[in-house]
Amino acid sequence: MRGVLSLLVLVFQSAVGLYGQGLSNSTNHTLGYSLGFVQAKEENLVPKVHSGAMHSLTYSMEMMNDVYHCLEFQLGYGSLSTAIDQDAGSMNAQLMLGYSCNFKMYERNTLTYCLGPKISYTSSLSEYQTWDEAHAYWGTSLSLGASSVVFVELESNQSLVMHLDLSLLGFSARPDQHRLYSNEHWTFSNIMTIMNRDYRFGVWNNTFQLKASAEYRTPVAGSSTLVLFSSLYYSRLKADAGNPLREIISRIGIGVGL
Amino acid sequence: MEDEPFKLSYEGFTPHSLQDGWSVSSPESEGLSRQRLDQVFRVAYREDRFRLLRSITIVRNGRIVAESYLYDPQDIDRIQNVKSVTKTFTSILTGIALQRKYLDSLSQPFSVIYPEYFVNHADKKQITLQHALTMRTGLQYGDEDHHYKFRFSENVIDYILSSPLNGPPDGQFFYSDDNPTLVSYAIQRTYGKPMSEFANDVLFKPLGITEWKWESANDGINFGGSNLYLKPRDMAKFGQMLLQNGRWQGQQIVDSAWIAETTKTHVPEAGYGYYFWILRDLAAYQAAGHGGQSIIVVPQKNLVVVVTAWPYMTDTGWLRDNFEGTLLKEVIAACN
Repeated sequence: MRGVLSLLVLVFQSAVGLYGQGLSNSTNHTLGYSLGFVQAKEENLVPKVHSGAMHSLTYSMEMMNDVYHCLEFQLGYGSLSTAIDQDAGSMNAQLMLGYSCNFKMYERNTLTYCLGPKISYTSSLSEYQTWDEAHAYWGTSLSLGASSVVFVELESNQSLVMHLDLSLLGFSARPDQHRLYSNEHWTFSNIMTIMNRDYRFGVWNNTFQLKASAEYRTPVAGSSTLVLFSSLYYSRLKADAGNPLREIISRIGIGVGL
Repeated sequence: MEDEPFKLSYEGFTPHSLQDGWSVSSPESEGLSRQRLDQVFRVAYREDRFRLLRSITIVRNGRIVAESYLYDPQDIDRIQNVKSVTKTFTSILTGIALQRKYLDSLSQPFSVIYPEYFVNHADKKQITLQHALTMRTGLQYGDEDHHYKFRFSENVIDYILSSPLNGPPDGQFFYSDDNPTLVSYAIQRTYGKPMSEFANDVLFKPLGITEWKWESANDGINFGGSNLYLKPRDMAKFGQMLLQNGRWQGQQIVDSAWIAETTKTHVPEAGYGYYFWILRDLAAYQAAGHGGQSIIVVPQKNLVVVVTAWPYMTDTGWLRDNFEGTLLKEVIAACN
């Protein structure tokens, strides 16, 4: 724990030292769609890998002053199954909200590297219809971590942007492994309540999330930008008792920067 | 990411000796073929068609001779939803309630026990305890979400009685959780406490069942047809009590006459007694629940077999059909 805190302090100190060196002032809004492939292993239920396609909508707002701020929102829906599933597949919904504040650490020619803290809220909700027709399964986390961004300017105002985000500590909420009630009450308020109660604090052992992404941006008509992106996300969430939820999501997508 | 084994590896079926009211023994001592039992367990562990199986407990001559927990050894000490095995407990509690005069007779209409519920459902006034115990009340599901709405109803009896009639009572067999819940409330009204408390007083305590849970609707009425939670060995106690004609450790818990009556075929087209499935081919009777929960009593062999399964799967190949058709026959055949 002390090591993690020290690392965070170092990140902040470095950032403060670099504050004010100046990035170009601008605000970008990007709307996107991605097609992904999900693998999920809900070990509170069964140690089988559920996999399938996921469709996601993404929105991000970037502000570049002296500091790079990035606000992200992502909502995805997928249909998953295992080889054993016969009657029906499973449903998985993903929600991610994130905010990072990155400070310039290195700048040379066309390359800029920024590092800073990121706070994220992620929520994964599944219904494994074949395996458990009665209960919801979820993994929710509120985490603090490190975010790094590399900007590479190419010719003709094109650019490459690469993100690497890593959670360091956080709170996670998971269902009990053995639930002594026969049916989930599928109302919006109940599902939101159960997914966000009994948070447990943890570091890498309980809340571990890693996301890497790369974007290619090229100007199109007017001030708009075409964005092509791909990402890889790994998450392992666990409460004190019970088994983890592991997820790997790879995505490719297209977006428009405004 | 890779799949991991669904079941544990097979390590035999020797029962644990615990301070839970059970004696343990060996197959040889109780006249069972160890070799044949070993084959039964090996098949259960190996074959995918038994993937829903969580535990097998075999009792002969009043002693546990074999048990195994295929998914998690901790299941031995863990209560689990026994699903529609609950109905059979409701049946036995009905017998005890009759014996103790909380209920008058099987021909007693529910409208006499809780008349206020029939003010708006006069067409259902003739439904009796006997109709409910044989799933012949005539009540059908109102819509496809019936079971879900039933689970979360604020007034479960009114919700049940709001279902349409497909004909007069005593007609068509229609298996549902509604009918046993009508019985549950009849016991609650006459006993003065929910059926789960009646069960604790007259059944669970005498059997030494200390850890259990029985779910209720939002108005506090226990579901009579599902959602009782028990440990596998406690299910076996219930089965052994049935086998011993209502006696357990010297105490007569329920009249032997009621055991005989409730395990008799009352619905020939369904092979159904009073919330018991009658397995004529095997000379056995069974409490059975979703996924494959089972308490099977084979009186001629002095045998009780308890099986627990994953309770919430929608798998088309339920354990019940596979188990009865193969492994149960083998267990019975292993008895000399």
